[in-house]
Amino acid sequence: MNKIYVWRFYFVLVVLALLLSVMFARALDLQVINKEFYIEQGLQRFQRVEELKVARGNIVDRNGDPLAVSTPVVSIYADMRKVKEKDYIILSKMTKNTISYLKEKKLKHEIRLVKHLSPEQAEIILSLNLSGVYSKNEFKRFYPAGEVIAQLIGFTNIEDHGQSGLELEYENYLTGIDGAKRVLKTRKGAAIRDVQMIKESKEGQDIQLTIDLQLQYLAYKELKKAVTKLHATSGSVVILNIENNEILAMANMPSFNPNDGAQRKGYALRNRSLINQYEPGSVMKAFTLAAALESGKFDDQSIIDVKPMRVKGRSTILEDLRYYGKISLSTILEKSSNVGVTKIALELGDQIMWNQFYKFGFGQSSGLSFPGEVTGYLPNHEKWQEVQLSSLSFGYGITVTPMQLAQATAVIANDGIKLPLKLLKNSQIMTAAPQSVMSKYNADTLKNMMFQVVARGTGKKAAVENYTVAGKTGTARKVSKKGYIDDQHVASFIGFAPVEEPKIVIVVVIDSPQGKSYGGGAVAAPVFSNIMQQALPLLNVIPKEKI
Amino acid sequence: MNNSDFSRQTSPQGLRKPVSIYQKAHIDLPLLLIVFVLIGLGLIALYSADYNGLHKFNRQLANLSVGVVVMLFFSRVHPRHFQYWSPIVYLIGLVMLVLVLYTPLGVEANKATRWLKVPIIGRFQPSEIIKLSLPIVVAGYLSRFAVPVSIKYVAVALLIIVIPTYLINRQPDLGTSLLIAASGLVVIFFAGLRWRWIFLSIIIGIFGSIAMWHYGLEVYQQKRVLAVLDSSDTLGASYHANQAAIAIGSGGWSGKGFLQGTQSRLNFVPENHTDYIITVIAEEFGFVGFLVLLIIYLLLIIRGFYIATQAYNNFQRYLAASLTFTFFIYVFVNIAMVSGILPVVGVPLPLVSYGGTSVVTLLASLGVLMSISTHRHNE
Repeated sequence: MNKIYVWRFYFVLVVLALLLSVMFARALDLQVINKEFYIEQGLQRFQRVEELKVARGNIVDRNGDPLAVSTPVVSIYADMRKVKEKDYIILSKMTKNTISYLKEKKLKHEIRLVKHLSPEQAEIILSLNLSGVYSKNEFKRFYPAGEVIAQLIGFTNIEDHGQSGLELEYENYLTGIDGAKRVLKTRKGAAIRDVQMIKESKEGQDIQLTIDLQLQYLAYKELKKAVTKLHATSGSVVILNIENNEILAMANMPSFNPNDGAQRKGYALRNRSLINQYEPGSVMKAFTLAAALESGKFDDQSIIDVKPMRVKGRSTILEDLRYYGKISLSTILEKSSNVGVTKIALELGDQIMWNQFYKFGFGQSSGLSFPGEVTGYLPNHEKWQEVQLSSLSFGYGITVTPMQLAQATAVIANDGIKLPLKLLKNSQIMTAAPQSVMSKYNADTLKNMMFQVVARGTGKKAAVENYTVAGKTGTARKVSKKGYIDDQHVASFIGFAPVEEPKIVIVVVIDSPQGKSYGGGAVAAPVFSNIMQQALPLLNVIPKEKI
Repeated sequence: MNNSDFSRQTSPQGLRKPVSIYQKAHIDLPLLLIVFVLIGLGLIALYSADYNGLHKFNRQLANLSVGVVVMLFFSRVHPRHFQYWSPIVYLIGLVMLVLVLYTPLGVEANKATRWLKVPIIGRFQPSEIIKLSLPIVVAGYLSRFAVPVSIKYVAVALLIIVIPTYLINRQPDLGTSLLIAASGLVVIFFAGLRWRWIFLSIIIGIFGSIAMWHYGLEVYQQKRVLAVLDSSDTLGASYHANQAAIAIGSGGWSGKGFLQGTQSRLNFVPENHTDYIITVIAEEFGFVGFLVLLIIYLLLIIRGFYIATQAYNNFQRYLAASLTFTFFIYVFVNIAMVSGILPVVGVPLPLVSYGGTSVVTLLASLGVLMSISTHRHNE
């Protein structure tokens, strides 16, 4: 070969070798020396950590009917830096965001365009395949029973955290633990396969309540009817199962629809059965009589002269609607005689009265730990004045919650045994041991007296066809800044049925009924009767044979 | 071996070696084996990159089949026929380039007018015709003169090179035009251009590229060049280079395994079927796989230059050397571009990248090389 070629070939070979070493060096640089950096960069690009959202636990009633459920929904998000400007028009149309809003968020790496769509609705937007647009699976809390049990259940906020009611109280129990896993994703964000589980998820746990949704509906319906008709400001109904003190219903008015965020405000949120305390008035006479019987100083044969009397510290003479003469304890209750119970209370003295009321549960927490729950006020003065003791005996100068009234009434119905209240069906925790508040004999005596109240006395309207009912009415004047006012009342009725073998306690409280009738016997007793009338057949309580 | 039948075989090599059966069949066995190994590697990579239904894989099989047939056909054609016909093909190519640029027959795609629409045949790139014919024309022309070639003949050769280079650059297709220019310049180099001219041209080249930067390059081309120097603009001009570097780098020493590549397969790397196919190999088979590929290319280059040294005459020698060197430049430019040491110019990896006409053209040029290899004894 010609010498010229030899030189040129050598030259070419040198160039070739140089270029080859460049390639070699570069590959070495990328794949061997700096591989960690590039591997890391690679992971960042295709591996994403995906949250595994778990559903919040459901809240159901005693029969498994849903009260609060989490339904899977899809929210549409966008990485606005990746969204093309030409897609703004269609995106704005599909997601109901204005174009100017989209433009304003142009540099945001994650904005939510639409929240809580059904998977089908979300698919319509996702199928457009717009770059930068993606979805997340979330859960939406839904309350099937709506306003019927709204205050007890409460609600969650947008982050699915409990804000009120049981949703708040059992937040930790209901909330699951969101997991996280590493997945492979394409440039467009579609997950290809799972790589690694980073955090195991744990489903939220369900809560089963003792509430019977049927009774709850019934209680709410009747309460709403009455409150609306009477133009009352508010009202509560509590139903207890006497056998085990399970709360079967807890209805409140006014109410709200927890599924509508706009309604979640104001007084309607209050679970009045547990967080409203009020002066109960005459319904307390039942418990004053319980104290009388338990003291041993009185029995069903005792006769008391209820002549109008002076009470120390009281500016006016204490008198009943009319003078009933010398009457038995039963008649005192039946006629709701203020003079009668005052004489008993003054005879018993402050300590016996206070002890007995305290044993019934007044002035104490219900043990339910409901958020915002109040204990009511049972005064214990250093030195009782006659007027204070007198007021206490007919339900003034003391505040109670409807739930406390229900629990205390259940004691009478349950042969004098006080059981802890129960709201969680499967809870094994006893918040308190069963407690004897009064003897069975005295309880039976008091039961009969309360039966007479409905049979002949102020509580006639509480009567239920084919069942025997025992109860007590209450009409308390409301307090304003200037003292007691004559035209605003709280009407109550406490009672249970059937008297022979009490099944349920119902407490009805109606605040500020308007119109001519405002007393417990006139407005609360009929509500009691209506509910009891429908509830007992539902609970398979056999009616008394018609005579 | 003094048989009169062989009396025309006057070259010393021909007398020393008997004619093998492969030579009679006009097959250069080492070259053929290397080509098949490369094609095989390419198909493996494409199989991995084409995970959605293998449409491209199947089409590539068809393209390769056509290419191999063309290669085997060209290997049977005597080199002097190429020398004879190449100017005509070259002129047809030039006419087509003009048609592409200045008549409605040119088809625009991706802001570049590179395709010619021909009834029946469909559309193809006339630059491919030039790619094939230009080195043959230049080699044919320069081989007529004594070595070293006088400067005036070199000037003519340069003209032959510059005209299509200019036209192709107008499309615009800078990468192809530079490669075509290189394939011609290599011939001039081998034809014995005096060293002083070589150094002079290098100096002119440096100033020329500066001038080119200001007047010859489109803005997008300038951006690509700058992207090599500054890779911080990760979503803009450097996007391609960064993604590719990540894909290659994350392959590490031995790769992630076949079909396990994530960067190249999950659409992070652009053009992973064509220009960037080496990212698939580098990511899935690592540095080892990359090295193997490089060695196979090296074997092909060595074989090509060996054929050049053994060639029958100057024309064949220039041509073989030019084809081989051009092939190597393709490999280098592609790998350098993908791994981020050269600007993005859009050059496929020979025999591995997915491609239609380019695959056929490349195999055709290897067919020419085979023809040179197998026709050296029976002129």
